[in-house]
Amino acid sequence: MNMYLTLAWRNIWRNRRRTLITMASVFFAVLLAIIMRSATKGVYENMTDTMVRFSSGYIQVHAKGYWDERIIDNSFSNCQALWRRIEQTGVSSIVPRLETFALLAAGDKSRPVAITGIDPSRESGITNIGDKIIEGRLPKNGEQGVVLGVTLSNILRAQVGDSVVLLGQGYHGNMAAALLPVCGVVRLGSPKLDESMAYMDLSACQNVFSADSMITSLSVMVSEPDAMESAFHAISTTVDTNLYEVMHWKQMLPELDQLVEADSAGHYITIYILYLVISFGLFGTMLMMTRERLHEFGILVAIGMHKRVLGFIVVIELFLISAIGVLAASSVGYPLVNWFHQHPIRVGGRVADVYRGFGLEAIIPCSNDPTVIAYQALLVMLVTMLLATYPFVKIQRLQPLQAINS
Amino acid sequence: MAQTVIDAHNVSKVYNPGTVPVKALTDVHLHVEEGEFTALVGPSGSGKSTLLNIIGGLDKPTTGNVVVAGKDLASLASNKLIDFRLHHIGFVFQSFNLVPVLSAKENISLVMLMQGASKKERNLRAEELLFRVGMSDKMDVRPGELSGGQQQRIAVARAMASKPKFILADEPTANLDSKSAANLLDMMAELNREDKTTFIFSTHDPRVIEKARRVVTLEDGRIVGDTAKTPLTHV
Ligand SMILES: Nc1ncnc2c1ncn2[C@@H]1O[C@H](COP(=O)(O)OP(=O)(O)OP(=O)(O)O)[C@@H](O)[C@H]1O
Ligand SMILES: [Mg+2]
Repeated sequence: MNMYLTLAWRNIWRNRRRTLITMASVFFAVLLAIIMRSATKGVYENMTDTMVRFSSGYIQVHAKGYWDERIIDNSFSNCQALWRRIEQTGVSSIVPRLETFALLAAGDKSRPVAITGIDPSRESGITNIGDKIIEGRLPKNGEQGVVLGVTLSNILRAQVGDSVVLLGQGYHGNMAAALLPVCGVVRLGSPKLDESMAYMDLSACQNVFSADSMITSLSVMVSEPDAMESAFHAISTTVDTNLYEVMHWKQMLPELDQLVEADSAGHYITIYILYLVISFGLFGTMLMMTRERLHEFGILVAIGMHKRVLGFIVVIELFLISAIGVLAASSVGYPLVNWFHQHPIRVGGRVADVYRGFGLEAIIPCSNDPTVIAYQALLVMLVTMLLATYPFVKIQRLQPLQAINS
Repeated sequence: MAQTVIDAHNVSKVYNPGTVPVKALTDVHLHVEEGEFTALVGPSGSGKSTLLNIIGGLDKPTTGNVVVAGKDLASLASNKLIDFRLHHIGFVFQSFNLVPVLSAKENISLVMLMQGASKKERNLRAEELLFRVGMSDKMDVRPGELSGGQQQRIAVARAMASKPKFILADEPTANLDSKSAANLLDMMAELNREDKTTFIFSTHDPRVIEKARRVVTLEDGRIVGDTAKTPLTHV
């Protein structure tokens, strides 16, 4: 090993206890930060993914004005040209939907319901709605049938094989009425959704609502959440914004975005305070490490060591202390968050209610994204290097005689 | 004719010229040739350390000039001056000369590393020097486990490692008991005789002064005596 490195390495162990305490403080701070960030990120991603998949997709294209007045009259023709334009932006999939409202009735029970006409084959890859069917199946292409949310099915007392009556308003004031067999029951996981959702095949739905080849939205999925921004810009520039409106989920679900942002901000403040405390600890250790060796520094410079070499050694020492703390925290932190990724924490009480209110399962699925760890590690190393500029600059100004006589 | 290694001319040093000026050196002329074994003596505060520091390029004279190994020190900018010290001047300080986390051998090696010597060269020379100062058996021992006298021997070996023109030692025996002090001086004298290593050291100790071949006496910052006790052997 290089002698300067050896020197730095041995120097940090001159005061074993102090070094260990400093390393431990870095370790705990980084570990805590990793856990906090991974948990927040996991919750964030789980929330957005669940919400986004079920309700909106990452990006939606509507007829202009639909979002402000979500009625079937604001639908648009599901034309090939538009699909091609969107497909060219490289998004992972496109799903057409026709969303509207109607009254469902069975026996003496009735209920206003959100009806979503879906293309079952396309939809299943995204909302994996097929997996959530607990009874029966999704309608086949063109089949007149309805899939009910599990609570809704109970309220209407309509099981698979029974029929429900649909009553509502169709496109351009047409009457929509149909007797629909229940072909499936779905459990979406959120009480709110389970009591208000019903699915139909898209073309059957268009039929019932007299809205041939009309849809209310094209939902666009991207391969990963981070690809949303660029896809949004690409689609916005490619479609005619006089006819269509392009929205991303943060616009469509602002409460969700705000909740996540507010939550993250709180966590960041905690983490920054944590790092501030650690910085003071590191700085103190560093001050002591350099001050008590002033005589030695003086001698080294007197006998011919360049101050930048000496400064470099001290920087390496600080780097090593932090790096060991950070490495230890990462190697404990990664398996830990990975474990919580696979075994999400269940939350209860009020927090659970908040989650359910958003249609989410009440779990904290920890993210096991290594970039969270890398980010915390880099942040701490960056802070360390910033702190290290102080002794480095001090050493560049060192007067060997004064130092020797100190 | 021996080579001149130090030529100090009209050197004066005033500390704190702004506030309470202290005249530490006044019009000092000092000429040292290769192979000398010279003691700088004088009462406390007479300017011995000041003179050694100026010669060693650790301090600057207020007036006058110092030529070391043919180079005017005033012409050297800070990093050049550090390099100059590394290559031409050996230093032994009063105490705690060594890096405590490095072994005796590593302490000696470090200087040669700074000079850019290869590992093989460093090892060879460090071992040779340790042998010369009688410390071969303490090669891998750290300074903390050595006596003051042993540490000073290592410090002398380190000073020699860079093959300097001369070695400056400001009271190298001040923290040693008299026996260790005498031993260290005997060793230095031997290195001087056998290798022509030039030593300039300051001291208060009469028994150390005895071993010097030239004694320069300072008083109130002036040279008041300069005697060669035994004829200088010129090579
Ligand atoms: N950094 C300084 N600032 C101000 N005055 C100083 C400084 N260093 C030395 N002096 C003064 O200069 C004079 C000479 O000091 P110097 O240390 O050279 O003497 P010395 O002969 O080495 O003494 P000693 O035998 O005690 O080591 C003294 O009066 C001392 O107080
Ligand atoms: Mg002195």
